[in-house]
Amino acid sequence: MVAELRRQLQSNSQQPPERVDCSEETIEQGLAKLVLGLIELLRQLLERQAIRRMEGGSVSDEQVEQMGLALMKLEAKVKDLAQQFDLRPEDLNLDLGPLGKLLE
Amino acid sequence: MPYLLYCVTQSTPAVAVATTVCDRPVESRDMLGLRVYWSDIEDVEACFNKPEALKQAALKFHQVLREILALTTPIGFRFPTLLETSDALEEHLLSEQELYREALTRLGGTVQYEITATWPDEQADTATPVSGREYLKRRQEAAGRVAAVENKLKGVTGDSVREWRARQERKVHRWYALVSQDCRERFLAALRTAGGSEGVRLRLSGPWPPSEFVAPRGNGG
Repeated sequence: MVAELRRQLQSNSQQPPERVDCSEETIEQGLAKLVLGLIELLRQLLERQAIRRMEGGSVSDEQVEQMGLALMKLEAKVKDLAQQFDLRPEDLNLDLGPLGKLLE
Repeated sequence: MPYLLYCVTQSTPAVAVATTVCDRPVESRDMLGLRVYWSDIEDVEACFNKPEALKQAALKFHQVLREILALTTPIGFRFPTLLETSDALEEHLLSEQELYREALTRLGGTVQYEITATWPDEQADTATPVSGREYLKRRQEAAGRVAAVENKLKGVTGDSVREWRARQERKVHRWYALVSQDCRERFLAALRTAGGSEGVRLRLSGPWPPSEFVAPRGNGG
């Protein structure tokens, strides 16, 4: 399993993975794309967990409200920062080559 | 002279491709037990550095893939993949031959269809929610809408689809169906009988090369 994963990671597939563009002109945008992509991944995971907990009834009304507000504000902030770096929402879905896309 | 790569197929007789890209013919060659399709591009600058020329080249590129797909299963390269020399092409194949062989064996005789779902009314629905609970509730409902369409698609098409994969974007959901060549008619007929779904706009495109399925299940994609 680990060997297979290593093989896949080492492999340059026919669709080479994206790389953070670290040229002088675009280093900020490249880094923003990477960081915001990871934040968006975490946000989506937290959102799914929050919905599951809301459905399961394991959290109080107040906690549901707090979780929802926090996730809503985080989503708005990610969107806002992405716009500042001239990134579209789909740009945050980083291509991990043989491993697929980040946000799937 | 740079090579524009189209695809790799099994080592079958060459498909005669009528389409040209940047006015250059499509050539192919058997290498390491695989067949590679390419064009040598004389003027890369003129072909790919102007937006309109690039768009035309991309359209022609996909036309080439569809011509090849009509006769055999191609694994396409991302457009535009350019290699400087034939040595670089051989090196690439040498390092990736195992991946290509595995994928071509697994995907031989298949095509890919893409179904895109959008929810036209969702724009109003996702206007700034009034509360945190409302926000989560709307997300929950959106997930439910996707699940309902997915269940319907899988239900009506049944075993005419060998494998499904999906991609979720914020306002668009895409499903990819891997269909054997001999099941294409049955798959399309099943979708026609399914009828529409209220509130969702579905768009079908294909057949395409099975590019979403190149990575084996469990290794991503």
